[in-house]
Amino acid sequence: MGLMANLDDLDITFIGHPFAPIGMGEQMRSHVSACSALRLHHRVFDIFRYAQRRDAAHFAVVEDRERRNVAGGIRIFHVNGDEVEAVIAAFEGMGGDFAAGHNVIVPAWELPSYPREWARQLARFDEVWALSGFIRDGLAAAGLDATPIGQSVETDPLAFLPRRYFGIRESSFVLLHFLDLSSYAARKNPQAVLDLARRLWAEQPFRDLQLVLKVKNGEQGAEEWAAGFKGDSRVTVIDTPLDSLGVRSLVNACDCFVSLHRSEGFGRGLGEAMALGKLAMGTAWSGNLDFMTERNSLLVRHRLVGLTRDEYPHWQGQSWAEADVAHAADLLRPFLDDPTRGRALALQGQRDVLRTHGHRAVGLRILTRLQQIAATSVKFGAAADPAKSTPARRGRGRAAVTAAVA
Amino acid sequence: MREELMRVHRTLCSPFVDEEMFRIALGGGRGDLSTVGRYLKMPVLKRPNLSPYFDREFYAATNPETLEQKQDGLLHFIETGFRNLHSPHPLVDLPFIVSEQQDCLGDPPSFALLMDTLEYDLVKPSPYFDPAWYAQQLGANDAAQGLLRHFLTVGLRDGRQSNKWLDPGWYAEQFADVPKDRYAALRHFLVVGDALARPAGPSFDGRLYLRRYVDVADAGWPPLRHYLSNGRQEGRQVPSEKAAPLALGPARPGEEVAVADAMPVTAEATQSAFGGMRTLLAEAQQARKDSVRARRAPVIVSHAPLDDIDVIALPAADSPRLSIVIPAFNELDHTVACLLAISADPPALPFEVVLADDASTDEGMARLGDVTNLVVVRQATNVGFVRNCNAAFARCRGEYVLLLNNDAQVLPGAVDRLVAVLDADATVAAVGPKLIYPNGRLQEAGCYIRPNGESEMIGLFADPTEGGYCRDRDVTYCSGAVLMLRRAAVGDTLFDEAFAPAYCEDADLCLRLIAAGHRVRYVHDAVAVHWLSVSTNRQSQDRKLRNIARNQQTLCERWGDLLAKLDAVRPIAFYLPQFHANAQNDLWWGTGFTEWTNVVKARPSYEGHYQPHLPADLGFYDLRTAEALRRQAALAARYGLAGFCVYYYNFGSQRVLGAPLDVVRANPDMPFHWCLCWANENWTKHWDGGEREILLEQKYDAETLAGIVADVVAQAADPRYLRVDGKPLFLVYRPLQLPDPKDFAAACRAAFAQAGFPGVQLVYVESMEAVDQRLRPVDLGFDACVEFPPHGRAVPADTTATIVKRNWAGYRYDYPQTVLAFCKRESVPYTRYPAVFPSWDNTPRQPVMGTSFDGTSPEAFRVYVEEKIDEVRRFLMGDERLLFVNAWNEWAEGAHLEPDTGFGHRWLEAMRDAVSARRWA
Repeated sequence: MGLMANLDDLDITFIGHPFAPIGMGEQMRSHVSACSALRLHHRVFDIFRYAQRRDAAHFAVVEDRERRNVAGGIRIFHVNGDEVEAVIAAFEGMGGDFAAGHNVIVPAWELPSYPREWARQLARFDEVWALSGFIRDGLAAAGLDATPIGQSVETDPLAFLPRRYFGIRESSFVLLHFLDLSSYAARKNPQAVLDLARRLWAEQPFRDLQLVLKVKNGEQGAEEWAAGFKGDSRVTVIDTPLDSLGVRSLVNACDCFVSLHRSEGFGRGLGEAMALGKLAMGTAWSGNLDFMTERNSLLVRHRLVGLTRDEYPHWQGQSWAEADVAHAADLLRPFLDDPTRGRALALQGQRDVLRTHGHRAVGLRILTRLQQIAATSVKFGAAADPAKSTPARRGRGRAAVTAAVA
Repeated sequence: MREELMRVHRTLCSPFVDEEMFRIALGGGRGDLSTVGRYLKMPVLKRPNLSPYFDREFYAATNPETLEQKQDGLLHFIETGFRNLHSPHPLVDLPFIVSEQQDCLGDPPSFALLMDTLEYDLVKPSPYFDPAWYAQQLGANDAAQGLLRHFLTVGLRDGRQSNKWLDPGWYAEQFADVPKDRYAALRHFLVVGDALARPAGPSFDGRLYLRRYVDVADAGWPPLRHYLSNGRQEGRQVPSEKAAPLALGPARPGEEVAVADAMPVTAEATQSAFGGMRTLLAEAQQARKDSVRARRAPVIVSHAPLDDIDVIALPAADSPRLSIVIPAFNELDHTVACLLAISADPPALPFEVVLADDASTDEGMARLGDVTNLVVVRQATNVGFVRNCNAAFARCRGEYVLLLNNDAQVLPGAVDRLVAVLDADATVAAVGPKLIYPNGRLQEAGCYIRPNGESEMIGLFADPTEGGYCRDRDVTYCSGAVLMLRRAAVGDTLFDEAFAPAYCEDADLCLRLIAAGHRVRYVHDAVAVHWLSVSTNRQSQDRKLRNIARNQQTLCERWGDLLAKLDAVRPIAFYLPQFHANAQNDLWWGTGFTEWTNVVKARPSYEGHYQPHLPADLGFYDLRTAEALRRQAALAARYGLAGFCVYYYNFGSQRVLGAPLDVVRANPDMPFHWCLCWANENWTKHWDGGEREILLEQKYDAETLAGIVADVVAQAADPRYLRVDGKPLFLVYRPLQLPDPKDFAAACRAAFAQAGFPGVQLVYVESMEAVDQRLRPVDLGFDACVEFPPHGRAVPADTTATIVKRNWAGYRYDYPQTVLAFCKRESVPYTRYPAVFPSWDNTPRQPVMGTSFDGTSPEAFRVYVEEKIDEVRRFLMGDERLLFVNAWNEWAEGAHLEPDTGFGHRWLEAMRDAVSARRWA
């Protein structure tokens, strides 16, 4: 015990893509915010520095925590299994000593088993943190134990932009879906959302129900999709680039966030919508079940089907969910005309998700784990005494750097 | 001759005479009589002024009798003029000064007070001199005080102005009869020019002002003087005329606009409106905090605690009613002082004191075992606050237990007050005092907890004598530093050890009590001082905050649903039913008249003026149709409103505008929730509730009143009627118009009781004559009051309006500043429901005399709502957490949440977002 390190004496660094407007950036920023809420003395390291730095909300999170060099201590890498090689190389290339600290990796993954070949990369780290129970199970299937941490979906109550800003009809009950048209669009299953809306319109052609689709600017196929709805006042396609304020305002402007995904690692969109007090509808399968229950959101029935060739990377032997659109319509129908009913459920969802996936809840899980690491990691066995940076350890570090440079 | 010399000498020794000016003008000090002789030898009108605040020519002109009698003006002023408030200088307007602040010169007036007033800028010296504006022009560097002196001796010469509008140089250039000297020109304007309604400068034209405001012209006011002393405050405009064609729609310079255009929405504008309002509020809050002047608390300090131990005297108690538990870890001086405070002012009931010593290491602490009748429960090892208190609690024998931190001290009488509250009401299980810091600032007047488990100490750092902290009331919890408990309600275990070592255990305990149906109460006239140690060590500070976070998380997991329920605020919007034709209006205003008739006629009065407001989603509805009412109810529910406060009209023989609620009541399935506000005022041709040209007179005879009460009781029986703790809400718009409010209140209560209700919640509206009267509801027999913004605190807009409407003579106010004024209001020692307003503009009813607000925005409104929700959280509890909105559909007053073409749902969205922003943190 005498040699146990005090957490506040250790450097804690989040390494990854702090300014990237993608999931990997979001999950990292959510951990940074969670730790800030707990007053940890953590730092942020941008490994590739390729992301443009424009978003005020990103700066607000990173603040003055960014460092250009990484000392020892605990390093939490928010990177994917397939980038481990490149990340470690870059890290050491920038003067970092991978071996000199306790390395944690927080990978994203969206299918039931984690790919074996990436699992080998993950094994280079001292431990793995899981962003959801679903990911933890997937890692376990690949033989990796992971600590369940989750991620925070809490956001500050911003001065949200109104519906008029987006040209969304104010009177409508609005279903919002974030369209992903990347090469693996099948996972998000936008077609099911469209089917759901069409089904509801078919029932009542003049029902004041609008579908809002957010597509990433410049994404391939976006124009084709948008063209399909041309002249249909019931569908609004948002394809202008949005910063965090814009995206959150859009979520805030909807009545129900819909994701009839086939599989989600965590389901951040659903979680953020719930945190904003919005009704959320999602397939009752995968990562979103960490925070979605029948008493706080709309969970859609599904059947599991095996993936077919190239539907997703590492598709072999994996299965995912096919949402039951008819059930989705049945679930949604009573809420379309009864705002109070929808609000009650949404408020329950907001309380639940913030209780388990707010900054403080996630921060406490991180803190607990960090304290265990500080107390037990062999790397800090001598951290509390001056021998922390013995010549031997230093030497090994230098050797590694030299090797990497060579 | 010698007598004359001495008289003048004495007179010139007045503090009004400036020593330095005297010396320069007369070549010697005032003690030197030869200087006085020299003074007297000069011709009367050529004698020096001897004070920056004296103008001999002005005085002679305004006191012609002195001229006729060849009297010395300065001597006359000092000897008799001052007493009679004859002004010495055009910018030292004594009658004005006294009207600004009645007693500032003393009675009889004293020169010392006059000089204080002028040299320290205590009161504005003249309507024409604006100290705040002048100081702002000077910037931070120059004269911090004595602004008028600065202006007269330096500023005027440097080309500065005494107010924003009066430019002496410009004025002199316009008129041949005006002297070119800047001071002389200034004086000319004040004495001559303004009375002739000449322009004061390029931006104020007196003739235009008088043409617009005929009442000012009729009263014979000099226009700039009127504007500066009254008009500005009344929201009257400095006219800047523009020959423009009749404009339509939101009029903006240089743009062609049409009726029913949407107002543009940009990200920049929304963020800046929101941020600007937040900044204004933050600055005001900081300034308010800085301005608190509290008196140090009368605490006992133990300088020699070891000696003082012998002074502690505690009585024996065989069967104590009260056990005082003092948890302590070292801090002998605090502990001894805490005990001394009890010993100096022992509670009146039999009590025991239990010292819970958490294994103190300070040897002196052991000496406390010598104190007779002090029960000491000592831990073998340090177990932390929670376990230490629990151990002592198990030993308590009293019916009540007072937890008293060793770094706290009860002030005389506090314990007895707490006991009295528990004695008086068996439903109360815990009571806490007013906690103050040793420096006298308020530390806590009870606490509230946000749904996320974080708590706020109500009134932290405020002035403990402020109204809101000076009444007993239910709260979510009181700090365990000084907390008295009913032991039977607590049970066997005091604190839950899940919270060990400390933090949030007191909140958990109080929530446990509330969940079991008990109440927790703040007792304002029981006062205790609490040191509340703050660690300066950053590491231990961080560790403490992490412990707090952990326990807040536990609190939130355990009580989250209860906390959300306790914290929920119900927004209720005032609702006008005059959107359907009726016989009375047909007769007076023309067949088919409704509120819409005026709404559609409104036109912009000045550039940027948003008129007309035309309905969007709900259209020009007719409230006799169930469909219209249903759609209103659905829209309100969708954005989280709890219901409407519907105006009710009853003039005895005639009950008008009741049709909409008749439809609601005939359709029990309609989700329309409401309460009534009796709009007890005359209907007049002017829509002003006044006495001129009355159309329907409000009667108060016994029969009318009985009919009203019966109506309200009947409506309140509807399950959709809004209530507070089961008591139907009933508002009276103008309480002071009631011949006997108490009598009326009693009649209401009797009728509700007879109908089987648990009571009625009577609320008066802070409208018209009831604004800012600090009228305690109880004095009228009422339970509460409700704010009625913008009435009473509207802040005029000080920008120039480019008027586009012929004959317009209206009033303009500033929305953000008005919001600020309402948010800065002092709290009151009674229930006052806060209210908010999105915008206000009665141009539809008063086309050329309209009152409107500029700078309105849904974003500023959202900040306003958030602030008022915080006020609700601080000062109201449980079912009383109501927030009123003025209004849902006052279309002819421009105050409506209902969508219009310009803003659509943005007001409703802002309302929803504000409530949502406060739903977790």
